[in-house]
Amino acid sequence: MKCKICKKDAIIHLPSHNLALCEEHFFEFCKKRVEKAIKRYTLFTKEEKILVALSGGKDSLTVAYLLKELGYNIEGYYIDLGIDIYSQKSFEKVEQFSKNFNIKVHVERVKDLFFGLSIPEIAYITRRPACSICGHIKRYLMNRFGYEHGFSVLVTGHNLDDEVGVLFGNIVNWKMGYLARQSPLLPSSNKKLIKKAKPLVLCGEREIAAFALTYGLDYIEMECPHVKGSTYLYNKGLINKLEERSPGSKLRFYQGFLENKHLFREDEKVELHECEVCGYPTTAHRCTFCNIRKKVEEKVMGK
Amino acid sequence: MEIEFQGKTKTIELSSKIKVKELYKKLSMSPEEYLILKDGKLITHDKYLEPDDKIRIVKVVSGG
Repeated sequence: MKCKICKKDAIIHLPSHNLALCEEHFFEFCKKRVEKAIKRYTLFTKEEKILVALSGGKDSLTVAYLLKELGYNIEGYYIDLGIDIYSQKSFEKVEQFSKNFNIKVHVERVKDLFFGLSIPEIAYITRRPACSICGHIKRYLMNRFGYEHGFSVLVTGHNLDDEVGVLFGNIVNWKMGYLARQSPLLPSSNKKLIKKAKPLVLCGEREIAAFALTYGLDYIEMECPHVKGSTYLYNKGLINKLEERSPGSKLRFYQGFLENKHLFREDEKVELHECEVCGYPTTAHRCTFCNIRKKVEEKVMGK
Repeated sequence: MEIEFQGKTKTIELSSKIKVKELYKKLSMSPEEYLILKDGKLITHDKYLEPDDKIRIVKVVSGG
């Protein structure tokens, strides 16, 4: 297979784009896909201070690398979740990435904020699924760090496959509110909530892994032990079967959804108040983060 | 053929060269979910692999 542009040996075939590309032109292709998403969905500008959430996985390292390559003003942010070997290894990858590509990375540790406990321990105490607790804590901390350090946008490495997986799940369950909110850009709805952007939404997971492997982004291949057997992963498998049979299905499904998003209306607008403990916006008197923290404190301190 | 996958190495017996595309089928792996590298480089589906080649397979799907 030859590169469609220069006829050199191709390293990758992209059936959804009817393209085969060499090392050099695959790099350009990925850069253009990210640029296209930034422009099409008006995610952010080069004047903005961008915080990139880094997990050590292929997506977050790739998005940080490409944004730097495109000349955006980025810094990284890593949360140590305290999940044994997984967290140790992911931190090593992030540290190495930071050194190799000269990207400043800020680090916060769940154990420092939750009385010495890790995500699995917090999940056990609160009797909630680890992924749900982890999602709440991560979203809160990423936003808080970004807001308190003058970043106007938080970038995550969500890719096309992630978005399609979530979209499929939301449609199966007709989650109208979630469907109305799913977007490559979540604008700031309160001065303490910074906007969130997903520049990789036009890049497939396979392309991102290929990019990281080809251009020396040493990422953690190991999966978080808590994600095994999730419906979300099962759905991704179904969608991949469809994509194999009918290339371009993921892109058509996602882009078609964004074009028809007006069909989905958000549930009634909720009123935000300041959390009585931390002052960050919440729909209740106390936010979920502070509720979790309170429960952990009671258990640990024996209150 | 020696296959490295998630830090472990396995050997499979091949009697003759095989196309990458056929290897995916033989291993019941979806090309959407796994990438194949030879000598550290990605390799397209039309290329041949020899019985004594060493390859690496990488899973691309992650749980988010």
